Formats: sequence, structure tokens, C-alpha cells
Amino acid sequence: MPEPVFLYVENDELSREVMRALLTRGLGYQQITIFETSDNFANQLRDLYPKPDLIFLDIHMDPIDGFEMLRLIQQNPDYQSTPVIALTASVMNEEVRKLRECGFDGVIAKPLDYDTFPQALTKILNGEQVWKIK
Amino acid sequence: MLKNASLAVKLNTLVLIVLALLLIGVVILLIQNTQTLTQEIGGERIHSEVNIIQSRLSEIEREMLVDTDFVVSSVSFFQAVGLRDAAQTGNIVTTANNSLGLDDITVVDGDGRRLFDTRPDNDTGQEDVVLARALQDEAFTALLIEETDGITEIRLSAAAPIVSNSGNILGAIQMSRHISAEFLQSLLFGQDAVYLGVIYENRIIARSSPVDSTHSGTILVNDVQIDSRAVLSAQNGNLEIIPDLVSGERGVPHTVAYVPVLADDSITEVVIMIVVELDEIFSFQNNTLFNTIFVFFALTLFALAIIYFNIYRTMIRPLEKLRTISQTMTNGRYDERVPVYTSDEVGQLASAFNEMAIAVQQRETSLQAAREQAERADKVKSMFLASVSHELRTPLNAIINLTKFVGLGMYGEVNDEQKDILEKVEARSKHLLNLINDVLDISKIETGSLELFVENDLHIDRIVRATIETAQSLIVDKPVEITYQIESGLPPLTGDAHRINQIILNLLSNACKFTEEGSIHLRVYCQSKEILISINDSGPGISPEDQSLIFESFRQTKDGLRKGDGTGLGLPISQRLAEAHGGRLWVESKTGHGATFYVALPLQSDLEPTI
Repeated sequence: MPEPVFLYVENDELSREVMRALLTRGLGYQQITIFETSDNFANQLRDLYPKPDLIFLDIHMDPIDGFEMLRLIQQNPDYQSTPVIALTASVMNEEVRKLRECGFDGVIAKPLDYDTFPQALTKILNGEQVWKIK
Repeated sequence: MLKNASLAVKLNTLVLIVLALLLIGVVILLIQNTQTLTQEIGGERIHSEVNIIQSRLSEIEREMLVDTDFVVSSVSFFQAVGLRDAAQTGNIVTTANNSLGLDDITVVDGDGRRLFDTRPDNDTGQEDVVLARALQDEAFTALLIEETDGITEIRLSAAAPIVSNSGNILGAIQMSRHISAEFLQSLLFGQDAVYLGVIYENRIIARSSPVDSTHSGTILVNDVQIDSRAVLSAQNGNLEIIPDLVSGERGVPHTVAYVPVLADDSITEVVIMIVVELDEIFSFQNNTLFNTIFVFFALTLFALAIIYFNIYRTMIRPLEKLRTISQTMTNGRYDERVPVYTSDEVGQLASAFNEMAIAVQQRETSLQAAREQAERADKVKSMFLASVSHELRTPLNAIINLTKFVGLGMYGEVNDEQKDILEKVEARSKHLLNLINDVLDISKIETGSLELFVENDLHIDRIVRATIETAQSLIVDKPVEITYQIESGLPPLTGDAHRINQIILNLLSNACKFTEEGSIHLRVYCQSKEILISINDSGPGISPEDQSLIFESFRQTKDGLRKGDGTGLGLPISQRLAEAHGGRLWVESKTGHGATFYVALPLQSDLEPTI
């Protein structure tokens, strides 16, 4: 299996650093694209290369939020089979249910857990959904 | 009996009872009055009948005396008798009787020997006595009672001497009339409803009306019996009128009188019984009664109809309307009102009901508003919780992870001292995260918005083993050992794995926190449709007064406060989480002898999987 390509959309600087460090320094992956804003998201998606194998979306974003970004991803034919995982610091069931209904492939709670994150990532890359939130 | 009947039936029954009582009263009065009336009328009738019969009898006697006088004063007659010429005497008598129409005429000569007899009898005893007395020169009337062929025959007889012009008694004559049915009918002049009977030796031997086969000798008509006491009195010459009405066949009233047939005597063996049938009065009385009842019945029906109609209009219909509208209100519609037709009690009830409906509607509206407000507030609270959670977790994400990464040397070499400090910072940060989670949990519990992430097929043994592993780090510095015993083949559970883990970990970390040396023993077993997890420690135990305190939010024992590092939320949250699973959490402890916490989770859960 070739090395997976990640896309992460996050407006909080230190959260971006956590994800980047976890994936690169922690897990040894190299191909990570990070969008610092959701501005002009559709175009950024279109222009992105290489296309990601997995997308992490922060939900609470401006000017468009995670749900809207998911819609734009779903509209782009290049991303039809790309799993999209929500990252959220809100742990209410209602929000999790909403994420699932909108078509996310899983959710990972913030703060990220160093011990359980690699396990969840493996599952997602194997095409499983991850809904247990801790 | 009428308890469950409708109002109309109850009231109509009441009216019916009242009217029935009234009817009974009226009928009783009516019967009494008509009886008095009948008695009066009957009394008058019998008196006039008695007068008529008496005067007719004496008139007949007089006529017969006149007739005898007429015969004996005939010259040719007393000459024929004087000559004892039977043939001539018979001729004259027969000729005279053609116009007189008497039943029996007997003529004797001066020696008492029969010259002529229109009807020769076998029994002539009484006739002879009468003729002998007539030869003594006097005219009189007498009753002749004779047996002829076993039949008693009573005759009214007039007798007179036959005297010559010179005053010599030449013989005697007796002329008599048979007191028969014809005789009695002649007394009545064909009057209706009056019956006569001749009583001799307490038997009726002749009657004015034809005899029914059923009538014996003591019944004159319509089952009216002879009153033997009255007959006796009449035989002594008294006129006897029975003062009371005598009830005959079918209850028809009669008045009865007994008239002596005296002839010239003061005592007699023959009495005429007079019975007046008051059938007309009786039928009039009955008719009146039936008419009264009929009119009363009709009026009752009419009254009932009016009462029913009125009750229906003024009570039943408004009450039914009231019931319908109550039902509507029960079903949650408060805008309908009961029409108020009258200002009586029913109308007042309707008005009061309407006022109540208005009050209920207002209250319902304000309740609705309050409910909506509460729902809004709840929503706001949830949003606030979500927001707080988000805002606190985002920085903690960076603090916890970056501290860890630095400590792990991801950003370059760190020495042991730095590493130690970074680990402590990480531990405190995680503790802070746990505090935040606890505060959020208790807020959710208190607002009732605690939500479980429910899954099927949870394996309690896996959860328990994971918590034990986690807890091991808590006792590394202490001579404490965690042992466990998990029953094999435990059935799977339905619930929130994370929350169950939270409960057990909380109890286990409490045990680790308070046990300085010894052991902590964990047992998982199945007992009466529940899975039980018991966590026993050899710590200081919990005093009885603290055993309820520890389940209150933000409350800790003195020991707990001294140890610091706690919020006083762990046990209340754990208990509520167990309850949210339909289970229980409790403690058994004795000061100085450790404590055992129990969690019981039901095997049959009502929880539905969240996803």
C-alpha cells in the first residue's frame, strides 16, 4: 500500500501542529496538506494535488463550516471515494448523530488521544467507520 | 336500582310515583262517595218499593172484600144459597168470576156444607176454618196455606157470611187469589230491577222472575240470600228493611226488604222479600271509576311528556353539551364554550364551567409558554454546554498533546528532569480534561440532558480488564495489589461502553486513591438477571454518615478533601450513569474495614442502540 495522502482543514494553529506532529513525527507519514481556512474551499479542493486518501475536517470553521465543506467534497467527482472524518471538540451525541446523517465517515474527538489515535486511523484507512467517541 | 338511570328516568319515575299515589287517593275517595250515594239512592228505592207493595197488598185485600160483598148482596145469589140450590149457586158464581178472575171460590150453606167449589181441593182444613168463621156473621181476609200434590200453595182469601134480607145467615163464601209468580208480577207493574219472592218456612216458594237452575230455595236473585233473622222479624209483623247494601253477583249492590203478608193477623208465616238491584248505580260507579283512571292516565302521560320535554330542554341537553365539551377539553381543545341557555342551576353550572374553561385555557397557554421557554432555555443550555466543551477542549488538545510530544522527544532531545516535568504537566492537563468532562456530565445530569451512546453486545469482561490495566498506573508507588475474578460466559450487555468504563474506572481509582496498602479485589458475576461488579478495598472504610454524603454533588469526605485531587463529582456521576443504564450503584462499608462498592447492570435493558 502506497503511503497515504492526508488533507486537514483547521483554523487553530496549535491543533494543526498537533495533527502534523502526530502524523509525521509520531506515525512517520509525509504527505500532509493543511488548509488553514475554509475560504475558497471548492477551488482549493479542485486545485489540490496529489488528491488525498483521507480528509480531516474541523467542524467549527469560518466562513464555511465542516458540514458545508463536506457538501462541497461530495459535489466534487474526484473525491467520491475519499473518506471524510470530522474532528470536533463537541462531544454531544446530537452532534455526532448529525455528522453521521450528513455523510461523514467517522468522528475523532479533540483532544486527540496519542494512545488510541493510531488504531482509529488504521481502521479508517481500511475503510471502516469510526463513531465511538471518547 | 335507579342509581345509574338517566336524570329524565329518575324524575319521571318520581312524578309517576306521586301521580300514582294521587290516583289511589282519588279512587278511594270516589269509591267511598259512590258507595254512600248508592246507599242513599238504594235506601230511597227500597222504601218506595216497600210502600208500593204494601199499598198494593192492602188494596188487593180491600178489592177482594168488595168483590165478596158484591156477590153476597146479589138477591138471586142468596136466594139460591137459601134454597141450597147448588147448580144455581154455581152458575151465579161462575158467571161472576168471569169478570172477577179469582182463583178459587167456595160457597157453603148455613150448615157449613159445600154448595159449590170452583176448584175442589184435597186439603181443605184452612178453608173450612175460614168458612166456619164467616158463618159467624163477619167479613174478613185471611191467608190460606195448603198442600196440593206436595206443593205448598198460599192464597189470599176474603170470606163473608151470606145474609138474607131479613138478616138470617144463609151460608158463607170464600174467594181467594193464589200468591203465585203472576200475582207477584202484578204487584210490580213490570218494573225493572226489582225482584219479589214469597218466603214460607224460610224457603222461597214463589218469585216474580223466572228461576235459574242454580238458584236454590234460599236465593232470590243474583246470589242474594235470605236473611233468616229478618224473615223471623217480619213474621212477627215487622217491616224489615236491611240497612246495608247487600252485595250480590259480580259485586253488584242490592237493597233488600222483608214485608209481612198480614191479612188480618199480627203474625204471619208468609213474608214477601223485595230485592232492588242497583246495577245502574253500580255501572255508573264503575264507569266513573274507569273514566277517572283513564283521564288520570292520559293526564299522567301528558304530564310526563311535558316534564320529559322540559327536563330534556333545560337539563339533559345542556348537561350532555357540558359533557361533550368536557371531553373536548380532555382531548386538549380549550377554545370551546358551553352555551348558557338559562340562569337556573344548570345555567350557573354551565357558566361556572365556562369560567373554569377560560381559567384552564389561560393556565394552559401560560404553561405552554413556560414549557416553550423551558425548552428554549434547555436548548440554550445545551448549546452553552457544547460551546464550553468546545472552547475548553480545543486548547487542551494542544496542551496535552504538544506537552506529550515534547516529552517524547519529538521536537529534540529532553533530559530526564524536563521529561519528568512535562509528564507532570501532561498528567495535570489530563486531570483538567477529566474535571471538565465531570462538570459537563453533572450539568447534563442535572438538566436531564445526559445522553448515552448505546451499543449492543458489550463484553463486560473486556471493559473491566481495560480499567484494571488503566488503574495499575495508580498504584505503582504503593504496596497495593489489584486482584480480580470474572465469571466465565457472562452474557453481553446493552449500554454505553465508555460510560460503563467510566463508572468502573471511577470506583477503581477511588479504591486506589484511598488504599495505602493491602489489596483491591474486583469481582464480576451474574445474579438474578443482573451483572454485578463489586470492588472491595482494604482502605480506611467509610463511616455510616458519610455513606450518603459521598453520592451528593461536590461533596467529599474529610479523607477525600485532605487528599485533594478530586471534584466530589465522580460518585454522583457514576451512580447516575448506572441508573441511566437501568442499574444501581451502592456501597457497603464499616469504618476501618475497607469498603465495597457494587454496580448492578440489568441484562434486559430498555435502551435502544444510538446508531
